[in-house]
Amino acid sequence: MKQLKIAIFCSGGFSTSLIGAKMQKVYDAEKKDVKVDAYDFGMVDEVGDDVDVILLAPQIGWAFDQTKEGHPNTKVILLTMQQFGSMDGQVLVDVLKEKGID
Amino acid sequence: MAKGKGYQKFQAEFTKTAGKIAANKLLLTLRDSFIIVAATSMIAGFAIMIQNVFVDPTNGLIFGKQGLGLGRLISGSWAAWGKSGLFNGLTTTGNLIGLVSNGSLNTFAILLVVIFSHTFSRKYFPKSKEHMTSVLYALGAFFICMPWKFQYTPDGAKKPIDVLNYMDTTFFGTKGVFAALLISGFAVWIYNKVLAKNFTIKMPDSVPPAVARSFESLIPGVITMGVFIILTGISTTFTGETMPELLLTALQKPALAISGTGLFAFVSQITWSLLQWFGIHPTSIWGPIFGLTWNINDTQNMLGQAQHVYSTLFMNFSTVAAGSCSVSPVLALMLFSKRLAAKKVSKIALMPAIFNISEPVTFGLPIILNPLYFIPWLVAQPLAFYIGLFFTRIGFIGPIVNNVPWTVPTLLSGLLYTGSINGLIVQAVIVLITTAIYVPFIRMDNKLNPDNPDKEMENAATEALGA
Repeated sequence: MKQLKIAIFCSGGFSTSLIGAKMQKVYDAEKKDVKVDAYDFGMVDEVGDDVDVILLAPQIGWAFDQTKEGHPNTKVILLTMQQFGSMDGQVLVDVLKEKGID
Repeated sequence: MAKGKGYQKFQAEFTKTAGKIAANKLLLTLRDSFIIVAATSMIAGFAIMIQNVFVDPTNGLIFGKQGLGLGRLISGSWAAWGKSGLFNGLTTTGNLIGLVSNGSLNTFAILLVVIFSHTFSRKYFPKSKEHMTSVLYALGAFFICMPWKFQYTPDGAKKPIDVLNYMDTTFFGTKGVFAALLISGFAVWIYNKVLAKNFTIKMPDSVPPAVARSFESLIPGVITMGVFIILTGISTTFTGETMPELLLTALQKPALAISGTGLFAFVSQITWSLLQWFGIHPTSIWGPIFGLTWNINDTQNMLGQAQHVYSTLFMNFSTVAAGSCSVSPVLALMLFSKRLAAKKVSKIALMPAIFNISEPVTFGLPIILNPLYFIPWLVAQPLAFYIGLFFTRIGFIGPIVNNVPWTVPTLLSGLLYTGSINGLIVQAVIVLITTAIYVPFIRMDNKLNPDNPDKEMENAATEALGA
């Protein structure tokens, strides 16, 4: 079982680093081999192909299509305002579970 | 607030257009470059701030006359303080700290050439095998175009003499920003276009690939360098000036003049909060524009070359680190909201807001796309900006010359930006007023979306019966 890598992006990488840390805690508590990292959107071209899942915060929703095109082998998920605004790691982990990422 | 069809259409159009602008490759390239280079400016700014606020033995907050006046306490009088060993030690330390400027602010344009050409090459020519070659030719082109003459007035001379083959180093700093971007971008573009056209020297297969590669960039390189030699020749022949000098007068000075106007400031502040309300991060659009204008003002202010009132530093100081006063809505919610959900959001959002991260409150409450909070959100940022401006105009605080990282908490950052307690007072006033703006809207929220509507109805009914 290979480690699942999740990259979460927003404009500056600040608010997502908070959510990323909370998600990491949830996964660690579940004893799952998952690594969640937060980046600013400028890094998407560099890390996009090396991760399994890209999460985009709603304030860069405009970049959803170009990100999908740029990284066809990576699953790109756009978070809704409610999901992102909850600032709750568990909520996002559940969102990913619904999409079959576990 | 009725959400009509027209409004929804406008919202969709607006978001689409702003998104298109924000996704523009050139703007992204500029934005990313400025963000990377800003790290060096921040280090320099931080060092200069430490020097101005803490180390400076004559005007600093700790030893100086305006501050705690420790200097006099230590030596007994200002005259004795000026002669003391500690005073000299502090002065020397200050001068050494000042050297950081030479590696950052004073050579800003060169750093920008390196970063911008690399970012440009990565974004526009992702298939290029070696982005550093682009950087190489961009740097070469930049130095080809530089004014290689220096005017020097010896002591006692009436007229300055032209010293040839020495460079006017002011173009390494803020004067060369536009030249750095245009020349390096153009150089990378020419080089990669020619390279793609396969104007390369083909080696037979028996030549080792590494050797063949070293010849690959020769012809594109020659053409790139040649173009800038010819352009420099043309500009000096016809105008007597090199391209960086021309660009400074033709583009950079007008751009800085426009950014110094009240209208520019007003438009930037209003659209800043407007974009954010629509859920688009304003830095994607305003970052590059400020990078070409107000950031240059920042650098000149930090170096003491100018005293610009409008600058990115001032915006960060006054609008509480561009988080559109993220502290204010959170404070107002904690004090006045009766809704459990909103209270919970404010608890989660408090810590990030203290460090000027606004997303938890803007997306959590939400403020974004929420008509109820449209007015306070739109008003708070420009209002904060103009309160700061008012206090600057009446001379209560000076133009902002210290660079403080934007994540430093409010009030503390006011102290550091201005190097005086007045900055803290101004920020306190701003936080109070912008918090107050939210109160009526939070009360409205309490009424419109009560946690248990039945009870509210009962209260209203008993009131009505009692009346």
